[in-house]
Amino acid sequence: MKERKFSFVYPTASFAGLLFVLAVMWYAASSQNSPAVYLLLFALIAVFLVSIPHTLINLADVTIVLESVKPAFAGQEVSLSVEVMNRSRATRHGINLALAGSGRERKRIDHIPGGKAARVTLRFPARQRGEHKIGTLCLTSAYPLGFVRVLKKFAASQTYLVYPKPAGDLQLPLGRARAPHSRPQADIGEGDDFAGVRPYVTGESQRHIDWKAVARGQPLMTKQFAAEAEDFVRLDFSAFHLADVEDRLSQLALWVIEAERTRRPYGLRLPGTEILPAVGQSHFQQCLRALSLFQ
Amino acid sequence: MFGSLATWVPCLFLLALAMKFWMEPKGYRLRFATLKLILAAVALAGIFFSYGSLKGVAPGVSLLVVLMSLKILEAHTAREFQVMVMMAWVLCLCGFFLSQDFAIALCLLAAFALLLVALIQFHRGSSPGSFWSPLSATCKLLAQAAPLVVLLFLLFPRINTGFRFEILDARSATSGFPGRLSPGSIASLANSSDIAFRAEFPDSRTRPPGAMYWRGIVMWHCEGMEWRGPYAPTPIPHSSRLGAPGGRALPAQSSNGKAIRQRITLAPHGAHWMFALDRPFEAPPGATLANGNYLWSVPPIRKVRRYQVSSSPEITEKELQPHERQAALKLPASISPAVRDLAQSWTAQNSNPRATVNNALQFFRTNGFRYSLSPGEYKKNDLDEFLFHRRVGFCEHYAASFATLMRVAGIPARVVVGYLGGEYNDLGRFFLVRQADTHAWCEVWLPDSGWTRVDPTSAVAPGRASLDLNSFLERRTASGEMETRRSAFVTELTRSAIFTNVRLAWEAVSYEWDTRLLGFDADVQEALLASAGIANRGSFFLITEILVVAAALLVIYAGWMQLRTRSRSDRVKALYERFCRKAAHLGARRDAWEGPSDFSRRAAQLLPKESERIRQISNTYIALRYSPKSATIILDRFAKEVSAFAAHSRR
Amino acid sequence: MDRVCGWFSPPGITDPGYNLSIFPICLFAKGVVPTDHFGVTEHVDAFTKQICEVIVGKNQAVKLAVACLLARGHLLIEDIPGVGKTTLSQALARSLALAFQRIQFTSDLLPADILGNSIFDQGEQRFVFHSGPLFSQVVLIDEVNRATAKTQSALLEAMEEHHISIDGVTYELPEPFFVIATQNPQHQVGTFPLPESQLDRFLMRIELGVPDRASERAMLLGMDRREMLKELKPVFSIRTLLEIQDNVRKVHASSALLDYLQDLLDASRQRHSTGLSPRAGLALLHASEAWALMNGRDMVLPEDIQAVGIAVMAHRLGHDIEQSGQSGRTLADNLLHSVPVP
Repeated sequence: MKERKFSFVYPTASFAGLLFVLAVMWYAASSQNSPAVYLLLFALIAVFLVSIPHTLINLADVTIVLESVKPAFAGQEVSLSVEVMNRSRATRHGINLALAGSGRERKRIDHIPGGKAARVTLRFPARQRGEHKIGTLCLTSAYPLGFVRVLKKFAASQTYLVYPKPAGDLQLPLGRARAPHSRPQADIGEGDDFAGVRPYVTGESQRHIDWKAVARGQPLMTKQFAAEAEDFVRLDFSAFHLADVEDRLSQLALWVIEAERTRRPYGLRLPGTEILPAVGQSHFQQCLRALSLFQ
Repeated sequence: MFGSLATWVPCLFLLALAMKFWMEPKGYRLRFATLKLILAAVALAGIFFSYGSLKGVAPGVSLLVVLMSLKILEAHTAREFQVMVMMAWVLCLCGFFLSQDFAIALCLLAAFALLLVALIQFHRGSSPGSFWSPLSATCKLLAQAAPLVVLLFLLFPRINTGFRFEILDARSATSGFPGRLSPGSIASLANSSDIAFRAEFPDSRTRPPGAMYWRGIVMWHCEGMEWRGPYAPTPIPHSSRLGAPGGRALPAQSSNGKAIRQRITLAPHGAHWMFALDRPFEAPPGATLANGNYLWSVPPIRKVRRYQVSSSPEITEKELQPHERQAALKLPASISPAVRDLAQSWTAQNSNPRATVNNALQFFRTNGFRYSLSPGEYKKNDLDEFLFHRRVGFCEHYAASFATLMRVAGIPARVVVGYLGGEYNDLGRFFLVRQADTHAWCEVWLPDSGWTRVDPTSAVAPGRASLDLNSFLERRTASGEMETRRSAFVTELTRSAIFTNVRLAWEAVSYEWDTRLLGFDADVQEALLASAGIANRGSFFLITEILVVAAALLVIYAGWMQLRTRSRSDRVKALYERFCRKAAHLGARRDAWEGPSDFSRRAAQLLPKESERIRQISNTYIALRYSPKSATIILDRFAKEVSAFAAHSRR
Repeated sequence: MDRVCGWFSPPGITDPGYNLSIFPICLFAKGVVPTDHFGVTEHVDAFTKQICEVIVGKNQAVKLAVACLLARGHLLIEDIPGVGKTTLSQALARSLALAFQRIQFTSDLLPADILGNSIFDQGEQRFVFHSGPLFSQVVLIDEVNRATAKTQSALLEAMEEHHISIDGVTYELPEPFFVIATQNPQHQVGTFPLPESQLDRFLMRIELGVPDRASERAMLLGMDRREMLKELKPVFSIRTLLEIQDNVRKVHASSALLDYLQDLLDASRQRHSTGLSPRAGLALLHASEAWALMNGRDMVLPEDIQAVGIAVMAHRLGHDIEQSGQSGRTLADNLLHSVPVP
């Protein structure tokens, strides 16, 4: 999070109205040669001028801290958690947070007490798959009078991932090893036939650990049962035919989600990348990341 | 303030406000454009019917108020709120068109400040503290703005745009001072507390002794019980002015202390009269000294006017011009024989005019004449009725009848209308003269002393001349000589010391407002600037200069703000970064991730000559940035050390 | 399609080819504002010095171990056998006159073996709790990764909670309670690697390593270590230790320092899929507070964080799947050498 050195001050739309009011007052005062009206005019001018530094101060010592952005699927919303920190002792009021670039959301924070922070979530639609830069975050404030606005820009170097939009009508391709007399899906993972062992993965149920082998001094192994072993999915980019690359990626994303939902191990093969079959959250994200970054 | 507005206009505004309170929680608001247009048209028509026209101040202000009411019903967005506040500021401005009284001005400035409070509260949103916090923020803002206001007020050029338009109404109707002295015209003012003018005496610090007769207008034209002044006063020819060679005798000048200088702040009354202590001998600018030694303003007085005038009670004219004598003896045809007989009875006793005057006064004193605020109705030919039957009257009755009697008796006489007395304000050291103090008295020509003031009222109501009317009436009421005018409680209250003090203080402040602030117009400013050595070189130059100065000030201000908005920790950091740049220049570059004490050690090894300084600066930096307590003094020391580091290494 | 077994790489594999960083992070931030604010520095110095006499040439590791003790954390020593892990923990215990227990973990060890058992007492006709070896002030657990996950989790729970619940009765562990666990590098056969959630319970993971030539010679020439251990006298009392531990929490961490700490945490979260947890942040803070106190300062400097950074962060970053090529130490080191000190 890089903070720009200077904050900009620029007039708001209502500043034009203020100018008009000032012009009316000035005309009335000068044509009447009326000190009372002049007093009103000068009071308004002076209050306006004095309010400018107040506006500037309102953003002094206010910084933002970006939290890491959760990836989103294209078509969904990216939610960007931002912490707006007030490092000064005084309370800050009326701060707007926005992402630079049009059409993006802005959030208003009414007040942040001194030394505290406010957490704001900006939501904007994820359009294109891939890795995107967050870009510039802008803090603005027109407090106290709303005639000028101070702008502070923060360049965020962080990126966020947009996964391909999960879509497509093709069936989940099942593994070759699967027996033709397949059981219904509900039974998956709970087969009875011992089919061998594979290395233990952290987080797996310890019920299936081959303790006897451990006692023999062998590494941790998980016993596997038939239904589970047979049932894995290999998702291959070039194994099916869809004209558009994006459509293929969408289809693959959908399959990844389906496979993960049914806890069926799945592997992904993209041109130049191969991810071996597994299940689990990190595997899931790894696959989607690969899909999202596919060139 | 709404005095000159149609009653329904402010009512509509309050109604709209109440409606808004009802509508807002329910989410209702004025949405449809046609409805808005219809309402606006109806309001416009209403204003037209109320005032008969759409031109002028009152219809204009009414229009603004009505539009504001509609806007309140319609407003929904933040921008609209901002617009409403600005419209309300314009309404404040309009308030000044209607009146510039101190009380009104105070209300308007308070409204201005409250609008600021509203605006700040609006921008604070849901922050806690919905009244006192924005109020204190506003107070802070206003306190910081105050010096700027003073500066602008004193220095900002008051350029005349040239497009003059008269907004302030002719307020002659509200000022009661009569141009024609008819029975009851002054008595009707006795309850008015409106201020006529205020006068201070720059040469003396206490109130001048003697009765204060403020000369307003001299009436020559007699119609029995009714007198009137000239329609257009004839100025005293310059050659016959006092002091002019060949003119009248020069009165005692201020050099020997007899002339009294006054500074008078006249409330606007829409007519031409100006007042001065009996009797002025020089006209202030913009006024003429009319025949009869009274002041006459050339333009009508529509706003507060300040002028300085000198008077001398000892002015004496040595001769009466024949045409003046003729005018001063002119009588209407309707004088009854009884009146003539009365007057002749006095001249028959003694042909000396002074004796005649005394006889006349004796007549009023002894024949059961009563001084009363409510003497009843008199017509202009009711001289007989007054003199011989009812014998109840106020000052105008006595002055008019006395002067008429004098003329019948062959003594040139005229009536002077002005003010008598006034309340001396010790705080502000000025006389406050109200409309209630309006008074009429007479002047008769005595061959040996010229025009001489005779106040027949004092024959009837001794003591009136040395008091203002209110005090006099109260004294009379207390002694049971007159009917009570107010309830006992109010009398008690108004006589209490606190009330009096508060009233006097208020009047003093109000006087300051009228004289110092409302008096500070373009001419006074020009004089001030000239005396300060800022020559007036035309508005174009002035504006250019001001713009340049303003731009420079803004730049300085912005720079200072930029410095100030950087917090203390930022400053420490910036200073340290400066130190690091210098060290890098010398060959010890700090890596971004390197902590200060590691860097200090490494730099000290790399730059053995500077090691002591580097260590010191680093220790100070660590103390400032990481230690639990750090004083400002250290920050200054740190700044010095960092600067010294550069200076030392460059040498 | 064939299974590729090596694909599931167990977490926490250390990279044997780890080199010392080319960046000279100065680990001793001493000398800056060397005022002893709490009057404890001499105590700590004497304590450290005494242990360093026993463990020759390992000043840095010893200091970290002491910092870990002062910060009320638990220590994980990861190294090959025979480099002095046991000696170090015994020296720590003896120098403080703390009760010391050593448990050798094996794969058939059950939780009850370390926590204790309720045994029916025939004489008294009731169950009597016989406390296990864990009820001690300094517990050295040898080869913690040899025990099964069940035993490991029982241990780690006790470490976190400082009490044990057996049969619905809660038994408080003694204060101070300091666990030193040793672990063989995990490429050895027949070990159960500690799950990542449990690695987080250790404040620091340090490596002792083989001493350099001079130190080794000094050791070879010197007295027998066991004799030396027996001769160690307590440097200060348990009460003093508790006081010092309290003082650690009073060391000031300025907002600038917390900024730096948070920058580190943020950077770790941005670069690695499983970044440092909030608990890791707290651990880093407490460890650096202890480090600052040991160096006689009443405030934490970025250098303190950097000094304890690798020991605190490495085992928490070591299980990053995406960057499996790099060990936790490298990741932590990269982090410390890239996040700028604000």
